[in-house]
Amino acid sequence: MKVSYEWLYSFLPELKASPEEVAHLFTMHSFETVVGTERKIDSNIVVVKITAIEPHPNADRLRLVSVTDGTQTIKVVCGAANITVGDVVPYSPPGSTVQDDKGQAQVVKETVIRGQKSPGMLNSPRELGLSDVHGGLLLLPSATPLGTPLKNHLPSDTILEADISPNRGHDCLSHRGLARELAALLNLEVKEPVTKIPDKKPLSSWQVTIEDPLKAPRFAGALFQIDEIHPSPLWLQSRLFTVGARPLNNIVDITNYVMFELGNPTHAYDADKLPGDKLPGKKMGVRWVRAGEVVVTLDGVKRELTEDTLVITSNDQPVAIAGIMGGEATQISESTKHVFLEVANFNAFAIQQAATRLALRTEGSARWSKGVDPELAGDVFDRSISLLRDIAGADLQGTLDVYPRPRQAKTIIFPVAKIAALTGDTVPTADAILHKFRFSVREKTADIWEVTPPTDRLDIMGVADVVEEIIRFQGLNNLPAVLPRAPLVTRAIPEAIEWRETIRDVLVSSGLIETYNYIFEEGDLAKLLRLDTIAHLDLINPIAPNRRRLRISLLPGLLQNLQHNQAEFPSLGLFEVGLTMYPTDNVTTPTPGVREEQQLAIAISGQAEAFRLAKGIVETVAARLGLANLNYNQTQPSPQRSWLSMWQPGQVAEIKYGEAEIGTIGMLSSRVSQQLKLKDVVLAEIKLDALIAQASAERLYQPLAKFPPVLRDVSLKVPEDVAIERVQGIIERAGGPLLADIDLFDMYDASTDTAAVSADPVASKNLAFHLRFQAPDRTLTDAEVDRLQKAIETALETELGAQIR
Amino acid sequence: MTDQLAELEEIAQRAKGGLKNVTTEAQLEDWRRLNLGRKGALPLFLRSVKSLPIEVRKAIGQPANALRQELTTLFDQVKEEMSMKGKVKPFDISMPGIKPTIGHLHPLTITLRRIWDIFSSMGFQIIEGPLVEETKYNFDVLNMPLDHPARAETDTFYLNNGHLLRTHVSAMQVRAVLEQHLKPPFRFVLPGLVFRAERTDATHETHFYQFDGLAVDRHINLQHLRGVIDTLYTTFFNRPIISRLRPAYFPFVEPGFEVDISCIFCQQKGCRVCKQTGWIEVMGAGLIHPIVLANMNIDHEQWQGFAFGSTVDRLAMLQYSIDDIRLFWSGDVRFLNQFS
Repeated sequence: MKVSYEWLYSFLPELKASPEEVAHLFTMHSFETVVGTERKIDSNIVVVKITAIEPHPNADRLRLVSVTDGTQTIKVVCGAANITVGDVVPYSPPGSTVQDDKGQAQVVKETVIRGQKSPGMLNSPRELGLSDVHGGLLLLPSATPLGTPLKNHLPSDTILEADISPNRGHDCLSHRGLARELAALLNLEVKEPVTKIPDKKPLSSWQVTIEDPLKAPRFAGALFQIDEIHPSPLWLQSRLFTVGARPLNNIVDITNYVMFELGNPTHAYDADKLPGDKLPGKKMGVRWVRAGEVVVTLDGVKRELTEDTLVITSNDQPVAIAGIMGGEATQISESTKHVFLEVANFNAFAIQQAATRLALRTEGSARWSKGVDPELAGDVFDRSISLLRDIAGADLQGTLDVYPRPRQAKTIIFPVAKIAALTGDTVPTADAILHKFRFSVREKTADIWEVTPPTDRLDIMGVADVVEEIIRFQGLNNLPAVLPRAPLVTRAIPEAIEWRETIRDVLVSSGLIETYNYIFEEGDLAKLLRLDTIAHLDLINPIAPNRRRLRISLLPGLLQNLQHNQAEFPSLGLFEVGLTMYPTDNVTTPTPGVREEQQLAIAISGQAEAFRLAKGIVETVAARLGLANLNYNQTQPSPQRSWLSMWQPGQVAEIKYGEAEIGTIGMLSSRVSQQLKLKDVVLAEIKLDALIAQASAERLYQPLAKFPPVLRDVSLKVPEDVAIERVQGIIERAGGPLLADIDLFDMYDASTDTAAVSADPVASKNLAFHLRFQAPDRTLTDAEVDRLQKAIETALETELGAQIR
Repeated sequence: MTDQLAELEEIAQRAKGGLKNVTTEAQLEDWRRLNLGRKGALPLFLRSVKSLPIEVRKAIGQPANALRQELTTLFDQVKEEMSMKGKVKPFDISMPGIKPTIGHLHPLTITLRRIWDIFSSMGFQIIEGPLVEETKYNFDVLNMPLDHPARAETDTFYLNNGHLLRTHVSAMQVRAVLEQHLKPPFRFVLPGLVFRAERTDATHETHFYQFDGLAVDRHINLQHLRGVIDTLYTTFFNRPIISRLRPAYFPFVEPGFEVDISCIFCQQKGCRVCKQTGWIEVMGAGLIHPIVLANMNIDHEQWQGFAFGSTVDRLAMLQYSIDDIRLFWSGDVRFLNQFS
């Protein structure tokens, strides 16, 4: 909220604190406040009167305007359209400072515009730094003395920007509210602007019906007779400019002024235009919208309303959207003779919902949306009546006030010991502090108080709220820092999280880079990967139509990362650890109907032997979790497993540990890689929860061998379709217990070599293994090892038809 | 004695000067014999001083022995150079090292771990929870009923099944206590990903990480909360940090406040990061609202506690001087390569 320091000062004549000090006090005790702009009108700018307007000889949109300051006449070029002879306006002579359209100070020079001399200029509110409004010149009241400096009529001011927290919207979205807050903090007296109107006579021929008093707890109104609609006095306009409002005429300005002063929005109607009987009697009402009802609002927009919107009616016809905006048909105009002032109270949620639906955020709806004390309407009513009488010369015809259930502030039973319990400090002056904030405190016993907040503190509901008042007065920032004494905790990080982090470390030490991706799956990519046929969770309000679904796999994100980085990093290894989510019929999951699963995904591009590399990394992870012997089974897409078609047929395997499905590993299909312009991509997707469920930290020490090993190699050629696993199985069996280890160190697939194929048309591959023989109790002899190697070679020849080389 | 010292100096000058003219191994051997051999200049000199009084011998002996050592080293050095000439090339030691392929953790992983470490050392358990959350846990049980203005102001992603993407990890506060059957006293930290349906820019993302911390005990109060907050930031940034507490409103705490820390970049002189204020807003905190305690099935007459919440991305941005929050989600390896 924009706050005028000058306005605050008018409530607090004893105020000594500077705008900076006020901002700091609010920030440290109430809500964040900063010093905004300073308003200072150049003392050379003077009040003049327009004596003549002639067309500009060389420009249609410009005119030559003669003005007088009472002693001399000056002729300037002017582009504003809102002037007539006799208007009183500001004039900035050459050498004076005004603001340009970016708010920057600019010195006025004597210029020539389209061949016409213009010594200085006539000013708009924006050029004077009053507001953003640039629709025409600032029109001053006709009685403003000519030749006097404008700053005498528009005092200097500093604007504060207060970020009023939602809980203080009830009492602080107004200058009086802020003045009361400041008065409490600085122990000052508030000079109340409200004078009670004792002589209200009832509008006996008017009727008011409130359909839902919970949503419209109060409806007060007053009827006035008006002589003439004219501009507001400059001091009032000035304050409206300061808070960012645009002055219109004295009636509308007063309704706005009172809202910024006291916090309760009001609305003025042209009473003669209210539907129904002719004055003096009208049938007013507040009710829910009926199907198909429409209001054309002040801004000229035709608003189709839904049935959960409150409207003000006259003779049962909607004339305004309650708390949001008045109707065009009944607005105040120059011809208005009777004004009906509405001072009502509406429910916060009802107005907030309607304002959101209509996307109509006005100063009024913003205040209603936070909640306004219905008691406040009393002060606002009296203040509005006296301003309308004093400033607009309005003649009060009568009033009405329908307020079936006056609000009572709730009394809180307050155990005094709670202050020390919650803040660590007894605060002996607590009752005085509460008094400053307008609470009443009654000592029931020394230990228990009855505390009653003022009615406008809708946020004070219980003991904790009262303690907050006390501690924020004292200054939260004055609290000392003390470390709590508390029992020790032995396992702060759950095991599953520790395992997950260990896995991340293994992957990083394997040379992979961790990425984070959005959980919003990209539609086109999901379709390409055949993920789109699987059930997903969908967003109602996605950031883009193509990002509607929540991810069921981390792989699309990693593929996008590979693509994004390909130009700079054609060879790249990435991983992501994250949550995927699926709809489920299960209602016992943490969020019913939703299954969230932690996944690990790996994507490697542009590497030789990529499949073996990825497999090696997965096995390193498994080994770190104490899992030996993962199983791999060839797999292929099926209608239920459509997503498997993102992988290259024949180059993909599912990974199992025992019976547990751990994940999938394989090459990206050429169909997808061509589309994404990627090369040689291997992907692995691991169900992290399933893997971690099997993890074990137990390790048993193996005694070190006492006798040296004997190392041999075996090299063989086998038909291409013989799996290496099978070759290894035969070697292990034939080698027996003395074969301690076996390691494939060379592999050559002859079928991919055209020269080799023409020499030997049978598709085959060459394999070479290191063999390590070792006995726990003796040094093996060459003869023994020769015998074992012979047995291995024989087994390979007879069982596989292998050719030993 | 000065005579002997002068003689020694002459021997040194002659030997060192002579070595400069040595170019072959034969000449080197001659040099050795002349200077260090049994009948060489230095051994002869040493023998000649033997007959002198003990004090003189001591004064002469030390520099003489030092000279012998120096000449021997010079001899070895020249000999080594001659024998290896043409066989070993000197290194260009400016050639670059060969870097092993190492991976990188995401900067948010690194930051999250630092936060866990700080809190686990203070006895806070780490608890994680679901991203897709029930409206009840995200709002209702946190004292934000349907008609609460703060609820409408939250930019929430809603799902077609009636749930939502959690807008804050505070959604886990009540869930964690109920699901894990926690009984006070307890302390825990809730780290995790949260979502906001808002336009993105350098300081706003639809995805970001937060952490909440909670402690419930019989006598735990605002002063303890400040103790934990100060410890967090001084440990995280590893330097003295001043905290500033000012009132703020969060429906699930009362009293509530925001925490600023002294700007770590400018020593509070004012800079771009702190927008010339000297303070950086880092956290919301307060005492757990009695309604929230009640929703945890905790008797708020017996127990009280504090809660605080902060953004992991913000801490990472401060720590690494990252100026655009969207980089965390860019998957750009040029960015990711900078952290480990």
